Amino acid sequence: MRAIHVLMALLLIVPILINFYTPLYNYVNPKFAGLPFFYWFQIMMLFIVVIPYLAFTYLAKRLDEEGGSS
Amino acid sequence: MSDSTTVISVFVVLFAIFAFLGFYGSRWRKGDMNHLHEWALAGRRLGATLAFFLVGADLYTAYTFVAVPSGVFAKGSLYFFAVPYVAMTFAVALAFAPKLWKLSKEKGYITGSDFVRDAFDSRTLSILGSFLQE
Repeated sequence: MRAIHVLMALLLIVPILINFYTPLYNYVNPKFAGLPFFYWFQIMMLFIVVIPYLAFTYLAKRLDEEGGSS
Repeated sequence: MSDSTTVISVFVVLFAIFAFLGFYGSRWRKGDMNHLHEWALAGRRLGATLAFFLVGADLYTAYTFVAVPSGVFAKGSLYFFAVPYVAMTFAVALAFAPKLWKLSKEKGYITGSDFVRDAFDSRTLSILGSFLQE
């Protein structure tokens, strides 16, 4: 197992764990535009997870072009 | 203009547009419908842009528009699970879908059941799997 495989797995697993761990965002304050933290945090996560997912796709594509078994 | 007139005219105009697009689209890049993969997979010719809109449209189902809002209205924030669910399922899809896509292209699978029958060499498992796929 190469270090890059661990990094790629973390890029997918960490966002999932953050989404699963409800106590992290189970609050009313701070509010954003009247929306409790619980709601806007999850909506914001939808946009933030794009970054690690894009990084995963980029790494997977590069590994594929190298011809290594990913 | 009363409320119901507005609602009905919006519905009729949108319905006409999408009916036209549907019939117009059937002529565009027409494939040979005698092959199953032409009908089921658009002849494996969907590019990244069309696939993007196809996956995007898959999210906007009756479940998204009717079941989740009414669930939130009836039971509250419990039904907000639909939002992180989308964020998480895409991670699972990113990990497994590209390999399945490549394998399906090489071996000519059309449905998930084709893959299961070939990979596990079991007809029973393949039939059970096709029930699970919605």
